[in-house]
Amino acid sequence: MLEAYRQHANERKQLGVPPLPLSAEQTTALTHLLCAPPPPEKKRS
Amino acid sequence: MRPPPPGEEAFLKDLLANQVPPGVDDASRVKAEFLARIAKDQLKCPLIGRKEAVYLLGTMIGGFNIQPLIDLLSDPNLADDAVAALSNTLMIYDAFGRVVALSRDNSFALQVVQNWANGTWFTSRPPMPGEVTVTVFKVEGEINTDDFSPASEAWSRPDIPLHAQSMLMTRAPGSLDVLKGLHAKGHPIAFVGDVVGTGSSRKSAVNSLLWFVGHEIPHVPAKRTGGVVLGSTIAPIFFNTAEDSGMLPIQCDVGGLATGDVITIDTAKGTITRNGTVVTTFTLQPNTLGDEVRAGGRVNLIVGRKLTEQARQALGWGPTDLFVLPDRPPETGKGYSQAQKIVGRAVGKAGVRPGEYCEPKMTTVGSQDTTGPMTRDEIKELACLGFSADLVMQSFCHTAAYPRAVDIKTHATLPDFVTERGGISLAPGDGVIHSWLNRMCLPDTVGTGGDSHTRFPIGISFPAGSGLVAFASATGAMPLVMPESVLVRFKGTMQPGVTLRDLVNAIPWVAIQQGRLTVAKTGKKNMFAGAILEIEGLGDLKVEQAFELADASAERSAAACTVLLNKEPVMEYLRSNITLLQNMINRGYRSVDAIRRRIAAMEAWLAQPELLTPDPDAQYKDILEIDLDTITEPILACPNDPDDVKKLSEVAGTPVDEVFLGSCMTNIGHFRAAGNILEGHAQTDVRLWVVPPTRMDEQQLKDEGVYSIFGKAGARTEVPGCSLCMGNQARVRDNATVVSTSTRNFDNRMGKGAKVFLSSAEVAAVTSLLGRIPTVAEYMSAMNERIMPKMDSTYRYLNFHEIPGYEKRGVVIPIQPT
Ligand code: SF4
Repeated sequence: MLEAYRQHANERKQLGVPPLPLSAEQTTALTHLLCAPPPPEKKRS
Repeated sequence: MRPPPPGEEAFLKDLLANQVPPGVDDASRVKAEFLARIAKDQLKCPLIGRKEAVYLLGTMIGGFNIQPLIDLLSDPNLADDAVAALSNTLMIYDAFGRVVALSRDNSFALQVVQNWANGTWFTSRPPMPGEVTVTVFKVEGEINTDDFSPASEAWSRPDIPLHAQSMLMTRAPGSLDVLKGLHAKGHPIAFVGDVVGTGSSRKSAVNSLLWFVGHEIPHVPAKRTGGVVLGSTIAPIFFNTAEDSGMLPIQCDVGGLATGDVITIDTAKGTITRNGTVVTTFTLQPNTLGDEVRAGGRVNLIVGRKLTEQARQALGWGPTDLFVLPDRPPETGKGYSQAQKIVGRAVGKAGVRPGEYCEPKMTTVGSQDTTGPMTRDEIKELACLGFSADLVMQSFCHTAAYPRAVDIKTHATLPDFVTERGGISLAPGDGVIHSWLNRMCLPDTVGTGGDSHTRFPIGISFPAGSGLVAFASATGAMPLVMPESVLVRFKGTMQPGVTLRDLVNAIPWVAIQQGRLTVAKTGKKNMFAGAILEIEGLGDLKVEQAFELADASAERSAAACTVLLNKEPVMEYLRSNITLLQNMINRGYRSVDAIRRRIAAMEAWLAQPELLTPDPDAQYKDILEIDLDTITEPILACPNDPDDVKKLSEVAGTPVDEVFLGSCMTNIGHFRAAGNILEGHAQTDVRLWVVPPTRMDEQQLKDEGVYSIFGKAGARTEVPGCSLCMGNQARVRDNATVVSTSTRNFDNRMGKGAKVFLSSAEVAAVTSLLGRIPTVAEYMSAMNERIMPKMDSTYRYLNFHEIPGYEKRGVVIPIQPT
């Protein structure tokens, strides 16, 4: 969801406008992300 | 789904806090439910604590956040936070009663009610600044709403930031770059124009302007508020929309201002200075503008003032002096007119004076299908989940016959939107908004509708744009500055062969004879413009007939209309309508509660039928007397201006290509009369269109065999609805000459280049037989032979209560699956 959102935000930036407000689907995905357990601390090398 | 990479936490929280639309959007539902679960400890979220969840719920304006916040008043750990959140929330609607009920034994709920009563939502906001320094962006001449929000870019209107990029694109190409460059001066931009915001009432015009001159609203994506607009003239609806959105609109002489000027507006002194020198002066109008700006817009102010007032009443406190009271016209001590009394009743007073600001209770609100989707968006913005207006009705008359894909989508989604909120939805094919809405009206009550012909034959309606209609539906009241009244008094006796439509046209005709109305567009005189038309002297009219007069007040550019009727026709009409409403319940129309409530209110009125009447010393801006004895032949409106009325004898003989019998100006009597005239005739040479206003008229005409007469005459019949009237469905041929019973004959409305006469159904029917407008003698002989002998059976109205078993008619009994 985040990647798609960032891409959308970039496209909108080209047009000189902010991203569209979140849809219900995006908001649902966002709530899942917010509640996801914090990522494991170990560094990936 | 993978957990977010570290470092995204702040970004994710910002998305939730600021990028989800507030109110009653689907996304806001998800957000509110999510936050409510965290706050109630039903869900653990490492990034958002319970307190923060309550705070964020408090930024959501209204709708899905309200009930969780009320629940949290009973949670000792979070009740203080819930108090803070609710105290600054204005879109409370019927949840108000729940909070008051809770406050009897919950001290936190009591605190909320007290905060509302003290207006902390208002006092916690900064007052309107005494001085505002801005950079001028000026466009010379007139800037209409199409310049702000071009129709060609209508597709992008819901996307405010994107649509804003098309502002001035044809009117002043390249000027947006100039505007954006001015931000470098470090001040907000003030939009300045000579004549600002004329044209249609579209809200997108203000939205686009605000995008460039306003500031962001915390927690609300893609919308802005604040900002300054200066104009030598600012069109009234644009001015109101700007006020609603929290802008500061100022009318002043802008001749001395130029793009790039840095000016200081002193809102207290009413001066605009540049480099310390006064360039121009102004008076803030209305006097409540400062409060509006402080509240974040007129909508917030009206809703918040009402919340404060209700809370004070609930607590037994007296009125507050927190708000500036609207200026009041001087008290004359004279009597009130009918309209002034009706509106007075809707504000709990004996009457209101012209010029007085008031917020009448909205008893009946109508919406049709072309403005309905816009109204729906506005209702969502108001965070409305249930209508406060007693009856809100949605029709599908404008797009029923030949729907486009977007219309089909509206037909599929709008009914649920309306009925979920407690409104009543018709179905496509049911017929014209007004022919239905009138049957739901209550005597001596006030309403509105998003269609300029929403003009009740009983009570009074002030038609409005989609924003105000949404506001009226959601809050159950509407801001109104009471217009002045013009009295139209009929006297004498109606002459044989003259129909009600001729009396409709007699109003402009007499006004023209007396030089109080002119047809020429330049320097036009119009005694009715912006006034309430109050019609007296035709008390025995049936309510269906009275609507013809009320309906046509739109063509006079009047703000509204009342018709003084006797009790008997009103009683008859209500009895009939109760049966129709019962039939709607049996047929499965929703919402049943709204229909039941209205039936009960009608029965209550019938138990004690009293009508308001004007005082003998009521004051009118103007009085027009029409002597019925002098109206001896039909009067038609001529191409293409509803004001350009002429006697039949002046236009007789004009060849005609098409005839339209239909629109909200017609009722069943007109179709029977046309049937009488057409009976026994072979196919007409002209193209004849016959479209009854509702499915009930259509059914009755079929039952009586009138449709078979139309069939033999070669008429083209259509789905009940607006049909040709609106010009967005079937149309007449290019450049056709038309005689029509519809409301208005604006250029190109019915057909490209069409020349349209507006007449009675009787004149139209005779015309269809002759292929030209009849002479008075031809017309009179048709009337004498075919109408006069059966007046009573012809002009009979739909009295549903007299049709045995009507309540159950058309009821579909579902087959039980075995
Ligand atoms: S019939 Fe014509 S005037 Fe009446 S509601 Fe429909 S479009 Fe409007």
